[in-house]
Amino acid sequence: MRHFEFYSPKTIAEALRFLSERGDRTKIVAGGTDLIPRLREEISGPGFVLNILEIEELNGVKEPGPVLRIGSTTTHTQLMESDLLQRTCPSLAQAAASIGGPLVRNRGTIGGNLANASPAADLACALLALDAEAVLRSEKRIRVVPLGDFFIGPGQTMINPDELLTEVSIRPPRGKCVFRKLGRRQAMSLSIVNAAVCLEMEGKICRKSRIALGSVAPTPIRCPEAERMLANKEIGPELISKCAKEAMSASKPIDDQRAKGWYRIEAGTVLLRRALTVAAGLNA
Amino acid sequence: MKKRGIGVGSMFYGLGYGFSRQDISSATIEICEDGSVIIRSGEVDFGQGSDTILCQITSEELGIRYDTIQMLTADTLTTPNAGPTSASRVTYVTGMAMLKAARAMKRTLQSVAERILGHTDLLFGDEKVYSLSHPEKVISFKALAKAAHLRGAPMVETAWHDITTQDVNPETAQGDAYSAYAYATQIAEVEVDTETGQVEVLRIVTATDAGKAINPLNVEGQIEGGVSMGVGYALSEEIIQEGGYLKTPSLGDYMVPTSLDMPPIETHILEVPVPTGPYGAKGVGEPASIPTAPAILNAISAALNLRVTQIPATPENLLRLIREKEREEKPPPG
Repeated sequence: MRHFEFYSPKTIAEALRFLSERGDRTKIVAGGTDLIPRLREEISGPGFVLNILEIEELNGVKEPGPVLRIGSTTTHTQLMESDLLQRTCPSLAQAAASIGGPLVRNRGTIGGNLANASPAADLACALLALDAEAVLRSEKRIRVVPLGDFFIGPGQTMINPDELLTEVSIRPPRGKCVFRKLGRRQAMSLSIVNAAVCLEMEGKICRKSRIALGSVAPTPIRCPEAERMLANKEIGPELISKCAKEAMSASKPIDDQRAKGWYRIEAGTVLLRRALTVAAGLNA
Repeated sequence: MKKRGIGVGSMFYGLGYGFSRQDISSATIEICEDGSVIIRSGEVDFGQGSDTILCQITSEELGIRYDTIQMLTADTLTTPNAGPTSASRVTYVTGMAMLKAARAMKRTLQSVAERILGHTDLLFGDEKVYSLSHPEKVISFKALAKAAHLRGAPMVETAWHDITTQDVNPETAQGDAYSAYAYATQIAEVEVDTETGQVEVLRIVTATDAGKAINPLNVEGQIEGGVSMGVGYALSEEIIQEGGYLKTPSLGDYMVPTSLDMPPIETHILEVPVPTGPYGAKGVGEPASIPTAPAILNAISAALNLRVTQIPATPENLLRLIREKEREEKPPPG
């Protein structure tokens, strides 16, 4: 591990001041579940590491109005145990509960899960299907970025060096939202493929659908064509199967040590079909 | 669709090295003037519990509490050579060396006690030595140790145990391969998701011949640990290389089963003693993990009516086999 200077501000203002001056040489750390292993592996490290865990206002799930605000250092454990999320966005609580094991969930944060921009990030997939927005702050301005625009590629987001991801905002969906994941074991496993859906149903008719997939493309993706297939239609097993196949056709999975691309497509189609079936209130 | 199947795996396993390869072990016991007992052996307790077993053997022979015994192990400066800790041989071979050393020490203590108590029908138990016919004739183990030291009796004993076999005839493969064999059978019940290839192991039932379970809880622990290795071997553990680079260099990539991947395990310990082991005991370390993967693969075969010939049976490998079978059974029209 290389040497770096470590800063631990207590307020957002201090953190933003630091980033405005040294952001291009700084890595931001919260739980450290991704950064610390990477620092061990990489030959050249960052000049500065900015710890944001001491900034109290960045932590917690809040409901000040119709929009939920989740601070960027909120841990996976906090998300999965939040009564508010279990009630309003169960898919997010499910995704948080599926990550790693208790040790990782106690350390890892929602901000880190998004900012690392892993194509397999479980929260990213669930949040995409919730139309969540990322709030990015710098000394100069505040930007609110829809999550669909947030990811650029593996490990790449549109966060500028002088910006801090301070919170994630969600309008709780009216319909039912479901997250499903397929890993290589029951815990401590990155997703081979993951899927999140939100369906607003009126009886058997789907009024609105949101479908997201992870680990099948360079970034977590939404599937607009597949979503349109369900709009204002009566939902049944056949339509769900077609929709899942369509959604998968938007993917570009790679072969890696976790799984081959063909398997991601086949298993992902099944996973999505099952998630849609549950969300539509049909028997899985 | 989810399909269930049950499979059986059985094994026998030669304990120790066999085939005329050197298989020796040794252990030392020392009794101090204050009655404390120190045992030494080159074996390594890496979690399997062999230190406990050696203490239990010493305790059984000398009639003292096993948690009072001090141990020195796996130190080349101070411990005698026990050979490698492998081949399910520590209880079987080192345990026997320990038993011999403890019995030699007991003989010395017995002769001192006979002179003090005036009786020869002596029992060692409850930290005391006493006459069976005259229980009032008794001396504490501590006092006996002190008396033995004062009389200049030898208070260090080392025993050597050799189970090296003769070997087999290379033409016929008949002869003296191993000095004893272990036997175990396991039954696995699995549920396979035929659309994703995922396997859930629902239950494992094991029957293991331990010869004599010196510590039954320890044997159960060995079997449960062995089964978890077998589950990983069957379903998920895989070293992947690409262009000379290891793609699975950490336990984040190399998939050892987690506690959530483990099924309930039922253990049945059978005891068919062998004359060559301490109190008839055999090794159970490797026998615990050997039948697991065959049992799981047989259970998958029973569920899917297809034969898995490669491990690990990952969801991807299994789904490929399921698809191949579907194609064979339903050839494309035309």
